[in-house]
Amino acid sequence: MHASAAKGATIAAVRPRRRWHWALALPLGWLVLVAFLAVTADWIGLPDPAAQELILRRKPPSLEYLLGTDNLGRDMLSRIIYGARTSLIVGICAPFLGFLIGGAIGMSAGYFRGKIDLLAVGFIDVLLAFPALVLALTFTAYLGQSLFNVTLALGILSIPAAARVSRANTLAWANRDFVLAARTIGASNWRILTREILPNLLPPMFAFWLVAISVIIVAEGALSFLGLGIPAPQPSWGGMIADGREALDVAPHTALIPAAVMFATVLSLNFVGDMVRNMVDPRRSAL
Amino acid sequence: MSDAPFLSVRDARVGFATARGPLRAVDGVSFDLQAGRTLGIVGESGSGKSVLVRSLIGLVGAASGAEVAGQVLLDGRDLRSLSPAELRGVLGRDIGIVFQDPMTSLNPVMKIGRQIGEGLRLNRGMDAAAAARRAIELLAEVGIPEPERRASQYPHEMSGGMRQRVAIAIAIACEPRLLIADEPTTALDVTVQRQILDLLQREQRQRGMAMILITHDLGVAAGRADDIMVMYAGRAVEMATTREIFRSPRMPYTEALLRSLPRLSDPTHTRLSAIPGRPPDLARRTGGCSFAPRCRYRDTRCDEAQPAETREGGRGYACFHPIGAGA
Repeated sequence: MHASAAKGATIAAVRPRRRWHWALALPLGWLVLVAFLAVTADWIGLPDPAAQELILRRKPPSLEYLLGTDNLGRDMLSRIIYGARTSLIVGICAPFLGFLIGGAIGMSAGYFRGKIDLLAVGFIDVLLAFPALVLALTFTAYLGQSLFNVTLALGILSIPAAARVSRANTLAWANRDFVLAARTIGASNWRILTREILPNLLPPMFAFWLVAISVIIVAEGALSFLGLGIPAPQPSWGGMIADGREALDVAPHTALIPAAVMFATVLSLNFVGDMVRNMVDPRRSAL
Repeated sequence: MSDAPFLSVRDARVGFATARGPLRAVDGVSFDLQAGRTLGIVGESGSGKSVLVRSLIGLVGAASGAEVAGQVLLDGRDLRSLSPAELRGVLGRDIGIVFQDPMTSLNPVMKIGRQIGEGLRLNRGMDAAAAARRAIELLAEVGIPEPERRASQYPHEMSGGMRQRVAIAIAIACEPRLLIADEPTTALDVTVQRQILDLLQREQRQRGMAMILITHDLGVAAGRADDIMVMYAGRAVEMATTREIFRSPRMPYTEALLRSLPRLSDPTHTRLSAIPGRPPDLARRTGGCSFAPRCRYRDTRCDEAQPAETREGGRGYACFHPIGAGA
C-alpha cells in the first residue's frame, strides 16, 4: 500500500506537465485543417487541379491565386489540397497495412517465442536489410505506378518497424501474471492474444502509427520526386516539389510551398504522436 | 483420510537447461491432498514452491524450456496425459489460482466485471449479461463494497487489497475444487494480509475446496493450513500436520525456520536468530544433503549421501539427524 500510495503521488505530481498543452493546439489544428480540406476538396469550389492555363504560369501568390500557379499554370492551392488527399490516403493506409501484417508477425513472435520468433526476426531483418527506397522503386517500376501500388509498396516497407514494436511490447505483456491467470481459467492462445494482450498493445501501437504516417508521407514524397510515385496528372506533394525544382530560380514558390506544407504536416504529426505517447506512458507505468 | 486423495503428486521433477548446465528446480517431490483440506507449502525464495505447483497444472512446460516429469492425479485423472485442450478444460473448471502480485495479475485495460466473467463465459457457456450479473455477486461475496460500481472500473482504480479480492473472485468464479494461492499476501500490507487470508479460508470452507497455500512465511501457514510441506532447494524436506511441525519439527531446517520467527513474548531487543549462509546453487548440486552447509547437526554422512525420506506415522522428513525422533 505504501508503494502504491507513493506511486499515486508521483503520478499526480507529473501529470499536469504531461497533460494538454496549449502549444499542441497549433499542430492539432493544422492536421484537422489538412484532413478537412482533403476530405471536402470536391465541394468547396476549388478550380480543377489539372486545368492548365499556360499564359498564367508561374504566377506568384495573389488574391486570385492564393498560392500562385505552377509551371503549367495550374492553381497551386487546388493542387496542394488534392495532393493532401493523396498524401493522407497513402500515409494512413500504408502504415495501417504494415501494422496489420507486422503487428500480427510481432505478436506471434513475442508470444510463442522459439522457432516462430526466430523465423519472424529473420524475416524482419531481411526486410530491414533492403534499402527501403530501392525496394519501393523496384516495386512500383515493375507493378506499375498507381495509388494502390505505391500504398502497397510503402505498406510492406513499414512491416519491420511495426513487427519490432509489437514484438517488444508483446514480450513484456506476455510475462505478466494476468496472462498466466487467463490460461488458468482455460483461455486458448488465440483468446489470450486477442483479448488479453492485443488491447494492451493498441495504445503504444497507435502512437507509433502516427509517427509512421509522417515517415510514409515523406517516403511517398521521395518516390514522387523520383518520378515513381503517384502518376501525373494526379497531384501529390512530392510530385509538385519535383515539378517546381526546374523553376526554383524564377518561381521559387512552386517548389517551396508544397515543401513547406509537407514540412508542417510531418512536424505536426510528430508533435501529436509524441503527445499521444506521453499520454500512454504514465498510464502504463502506473499499472 | 482413508479414501483416495483428491490430488496426488508422485515424484514431481522440473529441470531447466541453463547456460551453466542443467538446473533441477524441483527434485522428486510427492504429496497427497484430500478434498477440503489445506496444504501449506513453505520455503524460502527459490526453493521451488511456485515452480512445483505451476508444473503440476502445466503452466511450466516444454514451451518455457522446462523438463517436467512425475505423475499428477487430480481426482483419479492423470493431468500430464491430457491434451492441451483437455487440460484447459480442467484448469478452467476444477482449478483456480490466485497469484502473488495483484498489480500484474489483472489486465490493466479490461474492466473488473468482465475479467471475472471471462471464465464463466468460457467454461460455463454463460452469455455476457449473465456473466456480468454473476461477476457482481462474486464481487460482493469477496467483500467489495458497491460491487455494481466497481464492476465497471479498471484495476488501477483499486487498492492492492481490493485487487487481490478481485483476483480471488476470478479464481473462484467457476467453482473450482482446488484453489492454489501462490504467495497471495506477499505483495500486500500487513493489515490487509490477514483479511485476505481470512477471505481465502472462508471461501475454502464454504465451498469445500482443497487449497494449496504457497508461502515463505511459516506464520501465514500456521493458522490456515492443515498440513505443511517444507521445501528446501527443490526437495520436500519435511511434511507433517501443522501442529506437529510447530510442536516437534524433525528436520533441522524446519527448526531453524521456526527459530527465526520473531515472538511477541520475547523481551525487547532480543536478537532474531537467522539461518547462516545462503541457499545452495541448484545448478551445482553436491552429492549430500543440500541443507548440510548451513546445518548445525551436520556430520560427514550429510556431505556424502542424500538422506532418503523417513516415514513416521503420518509424517515424513528427509534427514540423518532428526530432532527429537523416537527411534
